[in-house]
Amino acid sequence: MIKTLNITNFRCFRSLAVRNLTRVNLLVGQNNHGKTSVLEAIYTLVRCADALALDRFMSRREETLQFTSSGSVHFHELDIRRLFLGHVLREGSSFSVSATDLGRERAIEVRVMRGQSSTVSEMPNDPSPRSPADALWMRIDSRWSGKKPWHRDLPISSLGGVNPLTTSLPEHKREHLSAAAFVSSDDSASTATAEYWSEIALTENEKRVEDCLRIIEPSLQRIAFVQDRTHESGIFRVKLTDQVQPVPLGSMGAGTSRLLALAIALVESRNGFLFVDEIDTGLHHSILDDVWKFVIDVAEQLNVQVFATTHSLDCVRGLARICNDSDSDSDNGENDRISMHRIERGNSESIHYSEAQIVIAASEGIETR
Amino acid sequence: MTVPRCDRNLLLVEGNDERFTIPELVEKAALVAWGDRERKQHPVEIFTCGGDKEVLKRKRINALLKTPNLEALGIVVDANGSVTNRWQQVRDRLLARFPTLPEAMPAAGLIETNDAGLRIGAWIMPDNQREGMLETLLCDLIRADQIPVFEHAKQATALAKTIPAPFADAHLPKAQIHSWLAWQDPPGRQLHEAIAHQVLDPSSPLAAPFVEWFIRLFELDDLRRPVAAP
Repeated sequence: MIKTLNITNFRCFRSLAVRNLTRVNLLVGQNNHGKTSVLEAIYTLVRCADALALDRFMSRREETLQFTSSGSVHFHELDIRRLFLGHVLREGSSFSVSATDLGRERAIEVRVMRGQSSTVSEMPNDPSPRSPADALWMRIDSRWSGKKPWHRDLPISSLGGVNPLTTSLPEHKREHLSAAAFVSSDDSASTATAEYWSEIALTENEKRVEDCLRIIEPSLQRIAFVQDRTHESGIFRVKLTDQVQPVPLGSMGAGTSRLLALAIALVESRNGFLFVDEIDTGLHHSILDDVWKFVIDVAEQLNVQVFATTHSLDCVRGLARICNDSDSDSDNGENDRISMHRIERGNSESIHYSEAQIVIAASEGIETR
Repeated sequence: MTVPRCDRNLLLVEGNDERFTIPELVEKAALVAWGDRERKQHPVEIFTCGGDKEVLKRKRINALLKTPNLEALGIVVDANGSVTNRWQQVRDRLLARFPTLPEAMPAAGLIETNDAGLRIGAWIMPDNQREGMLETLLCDLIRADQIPVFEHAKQATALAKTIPAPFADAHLPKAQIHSWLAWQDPPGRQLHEAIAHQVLDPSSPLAAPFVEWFIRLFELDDLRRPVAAP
């Protein structure tokens, strides 16, 4: 579990330190001050800057290069400069994310290099490839104290793009990877989340997911993912106690669908990390305490560390209702399971709120966001 | 984006008596326009809690100090028994963020700015020097022509205590001033109404140090209305 985090030259952050992280962490702060970028930085760290992981959040931000080549073949590359401070992509550009995880330091550094690399070959289908001496490529250095460090090189196309479909990491490098799921603000359950259902169905996690959906719909008995003639790619259906026929999940509203996406992502992140951007999206204020209770209970059962963002006061209040109130003298909330952190533009340290401070701020109308 | 003043200036007080009397004092004494209370356009946001023990709770002070866009936080607390002890308690809770706080409470009230540009203020009622509470200061504002009536209130209160009336010794100034208010016209006015109607004199020189501390801490000089030309 990560306790402290340092981000350098990533997106808008020249330097940002976030300390006193706990099992569940809620990030607040003004629009465009970097809350989502902090989630992305940690996700990048725990997935070792794997291009598929980067694609997960870069596509959402339209930070991709789309072009056709060789006739009508469509290509999709990551516009990698967007990850570097100032969007500068040249030899020497670099960003790093490091953290203390159970007392041990883990870090990734991504650096842009120029010239010949023994391991990087030219990108196929590059519309205007550069000469080897001018070509840019990206070195990812991954360190985790107690484990063998490694690096990996990826080519950068002449457009400044990186192919998201790189070959998988070899076995010995995979030990740096942690399980992680990233739920964007507009994600809801869809056929994309369905791919995880085969691992969840018929396990105790299926029950956890159903418990979560019952926060919105108490009459929910079962959920299943089914395929048939009229739904070839599959659809989620739910059985409610007072209805004979199952109904499509979609009939139960966008909030239910989003909650399903959240529940699936949480149970899929056992021993790893869950990132949820704007966790309150689509959820009525009256269920937010129950949603938080579900998140922290399952996160503790499955050993998941959760990072979420919000703008919503209701969301902060909901979190406050499951925090432990105490009159402890310590400001850093040593034994807390929950914490809140405000990210401020231009401030190289986040502002941390312990559980007791979250409770008192929420109950007495002290502004925190 | 202009941040409203009431998000930049916060005052922490013990209870509603302070919450209502302080704006009246400042408005009447210094002619500082307090603004429309319903629509949150006042210059300082006042937070109450349940008494001196609550004011001193670290989690509250720390949460207030972390408020976004904060420029100044003021704390007003009753001395009760000992100003020195009370100051030590307050200082102890602020030292981490304001490492250069003086050992002794300044008579004119504390105002200090830390490296991050954040201002902290403290006022120990009644005047950073004597024992007592808010009501001790308010008793000082009784007009000269009403002093004989106040003397009677003090005697009556002392006599009531012997019956015995149940109020705590530490709350003597409260019992005295509310007794005196019972005999004003109309009887039974609340403390802040007494100031609003100048039954208690906000322009008394005895109120001035507190009012000046308040205006200096929250930088409200520009809100002073000009005195009407004679």
